[in-house]
Amino acid sequence: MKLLTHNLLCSNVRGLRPGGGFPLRIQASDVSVRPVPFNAAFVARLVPRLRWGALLEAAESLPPEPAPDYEGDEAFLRRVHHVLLEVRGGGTPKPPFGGGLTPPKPPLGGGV
Amino acid sequence: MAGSGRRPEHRGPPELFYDEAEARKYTQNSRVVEIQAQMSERAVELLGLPQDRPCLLLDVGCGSGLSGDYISEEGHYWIGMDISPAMLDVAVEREVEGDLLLADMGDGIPFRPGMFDGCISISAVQWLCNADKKSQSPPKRLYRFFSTLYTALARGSRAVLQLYPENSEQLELITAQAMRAGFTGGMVVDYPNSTKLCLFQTRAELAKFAFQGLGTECADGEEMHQAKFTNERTRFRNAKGKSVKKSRDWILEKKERRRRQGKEVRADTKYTGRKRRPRF
Repeated sequence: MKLLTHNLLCSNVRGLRPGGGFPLRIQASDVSVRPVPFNAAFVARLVPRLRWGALLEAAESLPPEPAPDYEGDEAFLRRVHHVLLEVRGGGTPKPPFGGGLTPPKPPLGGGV
Repeated sequence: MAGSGRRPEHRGPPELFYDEAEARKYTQNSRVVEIQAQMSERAVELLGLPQDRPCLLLDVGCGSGLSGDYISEEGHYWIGMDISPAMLDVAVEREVEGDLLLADMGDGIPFRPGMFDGCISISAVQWLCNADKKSQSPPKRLYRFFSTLYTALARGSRAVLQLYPENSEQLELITAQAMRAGFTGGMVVDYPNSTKLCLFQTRAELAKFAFQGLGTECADGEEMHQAKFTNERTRFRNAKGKSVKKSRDWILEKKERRRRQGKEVRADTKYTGRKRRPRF
């Protein structure tokens, strides 16, 4: 899974406090890099959607805050592109939250 | 093997039906590949994406990534989700461009609000009309799918869902749940006369009013907007159905109902449904 997907994902299990489903834990078994064609406009459009804090937890090489004029900064966009779209962890995709999607079973009634 | 056997939905749950053999067959069959490419083309056309800039799309029920190939060709980026691990394995083998996620769409779309510029789904949504476990309720799963999809889409974006409904009731159910979740728009029937290849396309266009304020996302503002959005929808639902419990209207309705049943009911007065004074 790419870090872009990780940054967009959030648990939708019912009963979480607001904002409690994000970010999901990262368990990357093997990390591979596959080149993806760079598109500055697309990456620049992605940056405002990202939660930068969660991205920093996964990739320490990034600056602590995107610069205010990041749209023209190609070196920065290339770094973000590499982190978001080229690095991928794990071989087979796994469900985002292990078994957390199924609702818990109700407890047995008193008569049983 | 229950049911007619002609429709894959009758043979079993999708994660079991699309096993390794079926996944391979699906991806190698040139007829299936061609149909999938055609339908993806039509779906992306209906999405009405801007020509000049690449968008981030969600592919629900992406399978082995056949529909995603077309999206990549068009220069857009996509994230796909599917319930069948075997199909996703094939997609990984084929080294598709998009990212893949193993998830059940009936459990909802697990993404933050306003993240996608559009959503396509090729021949997947009809699977939600079947209950494979006792605990599953198709209307509930459909509603959860549509409502979470609605939140995951950005303001003004569209979802194009191509599906093979078994009958008109299924189509009605799907449309009703989509409307309930806030989608507007309708259905495009591409091949009305063909019985073998019935292509129904539901095109759902997001109503613009619901996402006001979500245009430029900031890290902290989002949750607030999302909460507000949910509240409004609940109110809408209440207004549509029965009146609020314990309200005067509710009491009057209930009395009227009992009267019709021929039971003895006190007359409606100005005191009906009024609160008692604190020291009654």
